[in-house]
Amino acid sequence: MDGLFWMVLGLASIIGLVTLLFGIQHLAGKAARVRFVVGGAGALATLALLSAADSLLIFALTWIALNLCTYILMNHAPRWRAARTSASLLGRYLAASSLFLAVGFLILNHVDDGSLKDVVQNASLDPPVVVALLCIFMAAGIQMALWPAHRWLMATLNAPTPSMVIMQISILGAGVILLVRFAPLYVEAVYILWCLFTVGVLTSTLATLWSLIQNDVRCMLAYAAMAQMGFVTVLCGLGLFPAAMFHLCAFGLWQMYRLLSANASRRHASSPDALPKFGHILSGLFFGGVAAYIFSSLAGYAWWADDTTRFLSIVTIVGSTQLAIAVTNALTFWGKFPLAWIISATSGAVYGLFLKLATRVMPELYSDYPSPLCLWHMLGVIVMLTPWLLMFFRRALQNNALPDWVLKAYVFMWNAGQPSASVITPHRNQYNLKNP
Amino acid sequence: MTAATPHKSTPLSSNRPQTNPIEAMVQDSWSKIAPAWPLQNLILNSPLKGFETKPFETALFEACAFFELKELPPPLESINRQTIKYLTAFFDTTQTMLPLPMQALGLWKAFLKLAPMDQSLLASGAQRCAWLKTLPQDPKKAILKILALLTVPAPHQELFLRLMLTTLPGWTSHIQYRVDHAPEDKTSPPALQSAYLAVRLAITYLLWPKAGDLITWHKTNLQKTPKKSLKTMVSNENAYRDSLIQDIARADPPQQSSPPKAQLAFCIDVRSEPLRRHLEALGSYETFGCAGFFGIPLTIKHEDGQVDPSHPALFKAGETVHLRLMHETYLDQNLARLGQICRHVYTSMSQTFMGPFFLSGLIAPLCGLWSLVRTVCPRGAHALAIKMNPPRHPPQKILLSKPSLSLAQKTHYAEKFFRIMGLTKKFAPLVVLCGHGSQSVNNPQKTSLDCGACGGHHGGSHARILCDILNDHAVRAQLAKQSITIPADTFFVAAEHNTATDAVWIDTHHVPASHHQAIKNLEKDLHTAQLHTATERQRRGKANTGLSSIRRAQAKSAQWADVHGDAGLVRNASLIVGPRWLTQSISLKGRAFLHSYDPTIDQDGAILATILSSAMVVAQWINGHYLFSSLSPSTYGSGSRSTQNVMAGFGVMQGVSSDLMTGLSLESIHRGSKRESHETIRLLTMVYAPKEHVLKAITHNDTLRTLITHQWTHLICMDPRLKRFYTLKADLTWMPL
Repeated sequence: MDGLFWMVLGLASIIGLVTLLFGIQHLAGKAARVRFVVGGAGALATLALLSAADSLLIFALTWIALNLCTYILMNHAPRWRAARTSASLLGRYLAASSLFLAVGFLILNHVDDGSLKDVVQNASLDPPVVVALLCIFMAAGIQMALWPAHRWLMATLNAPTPSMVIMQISILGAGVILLVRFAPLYVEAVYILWCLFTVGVLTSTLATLWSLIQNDVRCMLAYAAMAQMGFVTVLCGLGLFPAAMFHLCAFGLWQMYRLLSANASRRHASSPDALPKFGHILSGLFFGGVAAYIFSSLAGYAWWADDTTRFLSIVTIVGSTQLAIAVTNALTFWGKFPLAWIISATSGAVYGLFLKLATRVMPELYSDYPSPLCLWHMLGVIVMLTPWLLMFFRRALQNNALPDWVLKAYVFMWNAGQPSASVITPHRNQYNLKNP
Repeated sequence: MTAATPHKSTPLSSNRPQTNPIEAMVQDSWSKIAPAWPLQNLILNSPLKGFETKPFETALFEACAFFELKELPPPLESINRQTIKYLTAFFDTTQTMLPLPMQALGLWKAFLKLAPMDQSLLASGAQRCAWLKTLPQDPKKAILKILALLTVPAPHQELFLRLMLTTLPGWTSHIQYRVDHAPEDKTSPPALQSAYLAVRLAITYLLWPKAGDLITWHKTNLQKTPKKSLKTMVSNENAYRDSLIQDIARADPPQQSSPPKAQLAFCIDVRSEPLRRHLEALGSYETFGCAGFFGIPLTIKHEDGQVDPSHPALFKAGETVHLRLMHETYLDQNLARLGQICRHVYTSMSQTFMGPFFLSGLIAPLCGLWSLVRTVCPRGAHALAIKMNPPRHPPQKILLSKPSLSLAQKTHYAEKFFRIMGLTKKFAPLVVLCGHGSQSVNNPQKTSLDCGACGGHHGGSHARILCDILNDHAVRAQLAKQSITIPADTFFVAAEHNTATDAVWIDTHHVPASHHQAIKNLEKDLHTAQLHTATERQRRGKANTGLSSIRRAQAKSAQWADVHGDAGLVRNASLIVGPRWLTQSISLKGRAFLHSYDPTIDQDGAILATILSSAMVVAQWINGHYLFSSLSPSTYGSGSRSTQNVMAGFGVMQGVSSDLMTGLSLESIHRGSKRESHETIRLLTMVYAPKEHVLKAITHNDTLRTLITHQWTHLICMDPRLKRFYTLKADLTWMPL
């Protein structure tokens, strides 16, 4: 029962309390309610257990139990073809992740049977251990819906809203817990860490792009979840495991709120921040820099460090800059610049304090393992930053004289973001549920 | 409603001249498609409106063959997936942050530009791509070209086009709405129907070159389609009719009595009836029923530029009024401003790259806490939420500009309003015009619970504008010349009935001191009536909790997890046109639309004709919406609320992606117990008027005549002279009951 367990238990408790209470009312009088309560409570309980498991066998069994619970949640309407195929698709992905996990654990079991902590502390990076770590990465990658193993995440959208919340958070959370539990070993295997970083960058960038292209709330939120998982993977790839766990919890709470209130999203006004004034961008960047300085001081990182913790400073600069631009755009009175400064500086401070708290709570074994920055890391950062800057010019898409290559790229990404054909309901009579 | 009759409109599509055969063929293929309104103003109408030219039973059979198909040919499923993909992206202007390029070119031209680059359409490669580039820019020419390539024989071409439409009915209905009822929408040029067909045909040719087989498939379906038994429906209808007749037959005309303390005019909506009954039981109150827009069609313009058409779908846009939110205190004003800024910043941070990662780290604890508060303390959470995001209707204080009406127009609206309700004398000192609206959270179809006569919006603004007119001395002087004399001490007050909680908000601003006590007494009695109404409703639903009935209703309407809040118009069954004394002593259980009518002031039946041509048509739309959503929930309903997915801000889909799901959700129809669930019956109209006036009104109106002769609705008449009931048969002859 370490700090990681308490973090996960706290997350599972809040999500369980809100979502189960929500679901019991939301599904009142429906056959799916019992299934939801059993599957939902089971999934969240196993998620908490998973974070406490210190035996490879118990970890694997809990993993399988969690996947079974989520499968029960997904298999809620056998008469609705898309829901049935979604359950089957999810089942296949979860079976694959369980298989990879089993293989990885079997290999590790030969190294040191029993305690998970002993394994990660004692194992040396022999080829079998590297294979095991790759298997575990595959299991976590599938579970975390990392590109290209993300198709199952869209399938969960055919589930009732509260079931969808529990499924997404417990399945994705299990993947993150798995990666974090093997943090000390991954830190040793630098090339796997680079793989994590690369897959994370690709996933977060592609998924954010797809989420912004989507025309409906559920798909937008599913891709937003995938993007967050990509970001968490980037943090793992940079050796920033407490930050990864913090972002898992933050994502869980935010995603829960967004999904449960998704039916209220009728009029979602597009952001008015397209191409803000140059002065606003410059002042925003300055405020962002200040916020990042405050963040570094409070989070306990060196300002503009030469190691991977600099990545968090960059995230703070981007986030605070965006915040400052939004605030200056929203306000009209003269005091908007000082106010934007105060708000962005406060945001940096709050973010820093939260990360500090997460670092304190996490056991030492899973603390930060920053590594020196390399060109590959900087390349990843550029890949993530460029689309953020390009978003300010997105109104150009409405130009009717766009070159063909832009149109081709748009259509390509648009198609790539479409859900699998088998989980779509192409004719309304296939949704043949006669009672709620 | 009469006041607006001169503006009465017909769908725009039917006004267009048919100049050539292809145009005629396209229009004919669309003739069976009923419009489906967007979420912003969900107006309920019958999904089989296009089939009303046929007898009910035949229409059900034909509609079954077109719409209730269990399976589609597999290639058609792929075609539907691609069509949904293009339509969703093309019509989305609010959800996506990266909208489809080329939207401004229109649907067909945008498709022609993008489709050659779409590898999911071009499985067989460059040849198809080249073919797409040869298609004409004119969608009608393209339709003809593709029909020829698909080898659809000329006599079957119209049927083929119709099948292209009916195999994706949700989207087709929404496009029909854009064509007929949203002409100001830039995405709905007149050629939208042809453009949609051209896109669908092009996708069909690319994915299923042998789609001509669809005709054979349809013919087989027609042979296989079973005839629907109407036995249960007819037996329900007869039972309801007999019981209503028995109850009404017992009613006696009122004796001379003292003038009432107050008179209240409510919307004809079925949810007004229980409140009216309970209020009348409390003392000398007189209530009336009329269309909830009080005869004044409005277009409401908000501060942010949003324009809401606030009038029945049968009418054209009316007077424009500007609506501005007001705040009681400085704190309220600042909270609302803060809410606006927070929403702006939130959207800006969450809808971009990298921003959401930082944002999640900042607001996650707040999200967890707020979710918990919304779940366990919904009323408190809702109260705070509306402070941060005030609604644009009462009880929020709003400022309405005065419509630019001349004295003659004002007098016209006022006179029509009084005559249509039969209120031309014996005015009480206080007359309340009560609009209505609903309250629910986290419900994409919430506007379907608001006032349909106000275009799916709240009706309080209409009440306020008419009250201003009726309190105008100049208007009263003109009315007196028309023998409608309003006493000097009579004051008109606007109000709004919240149909979810049955609370009534009264606009007490500008009320003279002489009427303060009367208002206070009325508010007290309305609160008692609210309590009785809420208790009655919960008894029907067998709800039994420790909370008081009102608190329970308030909590349900503020609960984000709730899917059963406002019962809406479930179990609606009849429209009763006549004086209130006919039904005053009966509990109609919230199943009847009540329109007041006094036959003694309608010598030639003109008022009755107006009422029937509007109220009966609208009631039949609503009844049809509920009827078909109950008869075949998957075909005409929108499925379970728990799996609905809001699409592009104007429609819902089921799950990941589907056709647009129009119609009512399963929770709106099946409400836990049989006593609360919708009963499948056709609308029964009961009119208290001389038979010949009723017959004249029906025969002179094509829509009404069609509805009666084809048995889409039933009509009974109680002739005041003979005190007997008659039913109007399909051959338009009377049969005594």
